[in-house]
Amino acid sequence: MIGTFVKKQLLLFVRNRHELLILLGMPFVLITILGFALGNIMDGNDGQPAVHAKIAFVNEGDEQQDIQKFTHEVEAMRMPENEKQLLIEAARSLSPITVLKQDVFGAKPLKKYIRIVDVPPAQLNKALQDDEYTAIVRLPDEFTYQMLKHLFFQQKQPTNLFFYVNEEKAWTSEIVGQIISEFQQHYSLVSALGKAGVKEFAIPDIHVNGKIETITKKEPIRAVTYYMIGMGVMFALYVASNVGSYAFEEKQSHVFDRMLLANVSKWSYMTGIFISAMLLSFLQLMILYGATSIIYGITWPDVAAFLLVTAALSFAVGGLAVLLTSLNFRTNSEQASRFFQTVLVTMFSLVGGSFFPAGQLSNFINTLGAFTPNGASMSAYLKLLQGYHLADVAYSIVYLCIFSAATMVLSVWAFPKRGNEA
Amino acid sequence: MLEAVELTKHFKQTKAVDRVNLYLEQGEIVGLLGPNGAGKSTTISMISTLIPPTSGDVRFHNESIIKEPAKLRNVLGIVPQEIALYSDLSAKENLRFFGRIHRLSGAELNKKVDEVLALIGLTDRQNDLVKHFSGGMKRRLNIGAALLHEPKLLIMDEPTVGIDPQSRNYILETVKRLNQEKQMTVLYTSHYMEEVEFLCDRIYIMDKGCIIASGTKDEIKNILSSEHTVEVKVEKVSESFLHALRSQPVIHHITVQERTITVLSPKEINVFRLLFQLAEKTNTVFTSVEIKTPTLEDVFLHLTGRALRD
Repeated sequence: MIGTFVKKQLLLFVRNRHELLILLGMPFVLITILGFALGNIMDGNDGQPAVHAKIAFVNEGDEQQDIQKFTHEVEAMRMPENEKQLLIEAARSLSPITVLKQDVFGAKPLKKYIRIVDVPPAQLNKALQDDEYTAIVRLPDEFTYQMLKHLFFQQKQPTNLFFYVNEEKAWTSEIVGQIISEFQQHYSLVSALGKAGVKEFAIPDIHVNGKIETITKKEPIRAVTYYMIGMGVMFALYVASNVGSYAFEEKQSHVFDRMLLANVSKWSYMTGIFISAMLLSFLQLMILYGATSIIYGITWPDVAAFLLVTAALSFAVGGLAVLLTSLNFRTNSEQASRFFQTVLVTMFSLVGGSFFPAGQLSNFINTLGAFTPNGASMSAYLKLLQGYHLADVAYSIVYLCIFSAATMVLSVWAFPKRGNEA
Repeated sequence: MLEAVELTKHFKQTKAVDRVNLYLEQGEIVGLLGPNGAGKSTTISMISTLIPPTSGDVRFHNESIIKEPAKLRNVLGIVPQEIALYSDLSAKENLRFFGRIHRLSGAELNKKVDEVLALIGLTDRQNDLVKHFSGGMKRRLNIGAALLHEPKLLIMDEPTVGIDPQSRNYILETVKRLNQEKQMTVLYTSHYMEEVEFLCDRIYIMDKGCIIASGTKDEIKNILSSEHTVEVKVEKVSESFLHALRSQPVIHHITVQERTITVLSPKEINVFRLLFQLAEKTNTVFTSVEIKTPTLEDVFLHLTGRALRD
């Protein structure tokens, strides 16, 4: 019985050129247009995109204590008093952490784009999981002390600062990464001691060492890849509204009455709707991603994970289709499908990031986007393309399944009892 | 076989059907005649278990089917007024789909589909998409979709609306054949009295949600046994002549269609003399005057004061 419904729905879909054009042709055209039009900005080749970066500073030590410790050691040394004073002054002026926070990221031209947040070391892992941050700078205990000892007495190994990049925020994290690199390259003793007024001191040729760790160690997402995902997940939602509209046509034309009189249960009918929408969405995404991947040379590092995310998104689309069908039947109009198609899909796409990485606008939008099926799946797809593994996107897959189950429960509740339609 | 008892349906403030009683015996064709909005479709929706009544009962072989509709549904075929088909599927694909939802499969399904296609005269067009069919062909397929599971009771809601006379005749002949050859019981609703007269053994006339007359064709026409139906054709319909007619208490009903005026009056009155007197007074010229055998249309006019297709 359910197979009959699914076959019928597939036949109707395939024979409707208008639907095919909207669900397959349109996203492909949009991927091409947006990918090329915004490629320069997104890929960082040109243009001046707005940057709003939030950087977490995790200082595991204490810069002042480190300087104090270094000062005490210098004072205890056997050397001329004036040299001691020069060293102490140089050490105080050097303060690499303060310089990075206040003089580099806090410099006037950057201040309005970059926000520094001090994060306690105990919350490092939480910060690493938090997509809000563009980057995290971790300064290990005694960073300043060891650096001073190495710079002035070559007694310690050059110390490392750890820099974690959030590649989901590809534009901003790249810029912040470049700033850190500049800092590493130019923050030498020359400038530091020059700033401190030390001229005659023997200057070791040593830079502040930095160790940059990206979370994925993968290339950033290209614009065309971004829009392949963005448009794919957006147009998958249209499958739900289209299937809901088809179902309402069945009610309007009394085909649904024929089904009722054939003793078809509402469970069979709704299951048919769910599987049809799920299958159509899955096929649509496979065709779209398949064609785009071939044409633009995009490869999926983990095909199995990609298929699972696609199945989970299709599962959510199936749930939405059943919910829209129930609401259409309940209100005895196509309003639910139309409202979803014209208003909700646009809103979901906006906050979910289909048009641009809207999550960077505010935390609220970022959170809201993560709750949309398109946003959740988009995030999972992007992670997979960046080299994440299935375990890293499991949350999104589970969320999409829960979303689907919730919509199905709602649709059972909303489906009108016999004769209770509006 | 099937009985509706005091069947009533309210939609918010509107009483769509009010205490309708009707019955169907095995193997008969029963007509439900009434103008648009009379409540025919609501009545058959309740009888066919699609909507529950506000009050009253529907009994199938003396068992209520309000709460247990499956028993009736298994033997029921319904032809809705709308074209309840998929226009992007072919005739055959539609029939196969509706056959499958009636749990037909394999060779049995193929056989039934072929039989129905032959019965409705669409074998040659079985692979064409329904959207390319004429109105008459769609109507025939609409009927065919209700016949796949060989129902014992067929409910047809205005199955000939908006089609050419040829297709209409084909459908009427098909219904007659189904009744005679397969002893199918048929409840046929229409606002075309000539269809109901041609097909039905018994007739219910409905208006404003109520049954206003019922019986065999002759029984219903006998309602008018005390009245003449006179049809007058005039050169030009004048307001003064119509006014003069309306002012006569012995003229019960008047309808005007182009240059034809139809009046009902008691048989004991010499209506010819009266009509000619009024024509002379108002300078109206008659081109013909005829006493007609009463039709169901006349009965409806007599009972409601309105024509069936007003």
